[in-house]
Amino acid sequence: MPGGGAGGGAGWLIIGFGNADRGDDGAGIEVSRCLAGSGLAAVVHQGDALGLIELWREARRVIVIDAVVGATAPAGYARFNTSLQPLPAPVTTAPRHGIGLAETIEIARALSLLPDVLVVYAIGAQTFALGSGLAPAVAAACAEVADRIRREVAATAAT
Amino acid sequence: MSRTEVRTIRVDALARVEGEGALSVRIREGVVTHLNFRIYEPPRFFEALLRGRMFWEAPDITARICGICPIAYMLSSSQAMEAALGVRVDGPLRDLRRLIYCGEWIESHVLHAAMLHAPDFLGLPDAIAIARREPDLVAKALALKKLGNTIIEVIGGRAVHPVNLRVGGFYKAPAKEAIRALIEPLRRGLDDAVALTRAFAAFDFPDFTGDYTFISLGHDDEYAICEGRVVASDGLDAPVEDYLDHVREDQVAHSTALWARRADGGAYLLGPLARYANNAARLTPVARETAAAVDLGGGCRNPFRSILVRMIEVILACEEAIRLAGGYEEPEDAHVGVEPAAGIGHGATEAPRGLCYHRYRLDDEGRILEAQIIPPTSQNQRQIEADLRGVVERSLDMNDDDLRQRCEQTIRNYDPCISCATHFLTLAIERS
Repeated sequence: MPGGGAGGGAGWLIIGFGNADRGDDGAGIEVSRCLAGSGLAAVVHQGDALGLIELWREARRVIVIDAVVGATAPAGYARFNTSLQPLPAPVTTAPRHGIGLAETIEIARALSLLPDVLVVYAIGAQTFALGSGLAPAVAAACAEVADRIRREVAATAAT
Repeated sequence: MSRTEVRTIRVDALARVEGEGALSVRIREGVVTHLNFRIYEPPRFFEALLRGRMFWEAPDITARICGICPIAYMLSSSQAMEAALGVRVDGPLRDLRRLIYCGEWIESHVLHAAMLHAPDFLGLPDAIAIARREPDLVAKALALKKLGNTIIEVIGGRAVHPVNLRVGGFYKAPAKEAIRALIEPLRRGLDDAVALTRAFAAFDFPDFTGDYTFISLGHDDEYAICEGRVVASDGLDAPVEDYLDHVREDQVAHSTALWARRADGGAYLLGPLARYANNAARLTPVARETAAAVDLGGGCRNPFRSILVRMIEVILACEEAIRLAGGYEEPEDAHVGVEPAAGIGHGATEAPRGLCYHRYRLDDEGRILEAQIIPPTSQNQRQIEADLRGVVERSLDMNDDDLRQRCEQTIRNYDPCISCATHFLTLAIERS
């Protein structure tokens, strides 16, 4: 899956963000994997959160998928439109050198580097343990989120 | 506030550092009676994980110890294996290693200096606030960070957990055009690094001088980054293979990371201040000029000014990268031949946070029998705690909130990588 770009599939860029080596922190990557081959511009980003700003710089509409605690029950998921407002305060993503997804979104907003539309799908993590793989319930949530993204993108293309 | 009063200051989770750490302080009648800097991130067991693996797997496994400084682990482990197997990497391959390491210094140092540490000096709570107040500064920092990541990606195959580094060199030598294409962005990056350094020089730095023993690599011909001898400000000059004759690791009850000390029991300091103390004679031209302009010419023993030293190292890394990229010619072979054999090897390189030491023992098939990895942050713990005690003792008149903030700022002087330190604020200050 290539990194970055202006987006295919009705102009959406879908970014699976996380670390596949740290348990459920690979959830975003799994969703991108599910979407590969769907004709959508689905990429993965395993670096630090600030790197997302460069990844979405040329895109107008972006969906980011990440594993979180606090926004939803483990293996649940929630959708947030952060185009106009921050991720809610209880949402915490796996910390990566002090700056996570929520902070990155606000830094981008301060620098006028947010895409026109930025949607975050937050999947509830059960564990961030090194080398543990996705919990089965979280893997199932990833498949649901992938399906929901397909429908969301298709609905956008139809309008 | 009365000196007989009991004060309790608690920081439950240290912010703007990587990993999880905590600090507890007890002050009784104006005297610091207890101070613990505690790392409580679960241990990583990488040393155990490496046992039984083949020598050539070590770079890829150890790269996972840290997402922000994988090159440090990959090269320290590679050089240790090369030492064990009687292999020397020189010439263009050595230059490529130094170039990719420059990329890591640039992206790691700028992330810390601009986004994690600078807010402390501006009275701002976080990186978001600094982006709102100083958008041009943050834009420069992001451009430099991207530049550092690009260097790693061009040479290493990808910016996170690079895949192109191996024992003996690289799997594939990057194309000359790809390396030359780095030069223009590096020249712009150099200008940005100088601008950021001069901006940071205007900060109000707390007055603190540490009586440090600085330990780093030192080299006769260059500012030590990815090889050298072990040197110290007290006159130590030893080969890397003698490192364990001079430092020891101990377990302490209040931390899941091993603590390090000199063989005589004392603390020591690794990282930018140590490198600068031991290598300043080999600064590159713009780095030297900028260091003088920001009053670093005579050295630096104030840990709060480490943010400037980090930026001087970013300038140096840009200059070195321009030189190396300009001189790069594709080597005939991407790596030197390596044959498995029994042996013991030691390797050390200068991670952004300081000297990162590896030792391995191999059997005659090249299988790892023993592995020892000593990251810089774990080595700095003792000195971090000593600095905190000094800062607290000098700041007893501060109210609890300000003292908490000053302690967090002190820890961030070291850019601690707590996840590395545990292969790293719950700050509780009790005053009575």
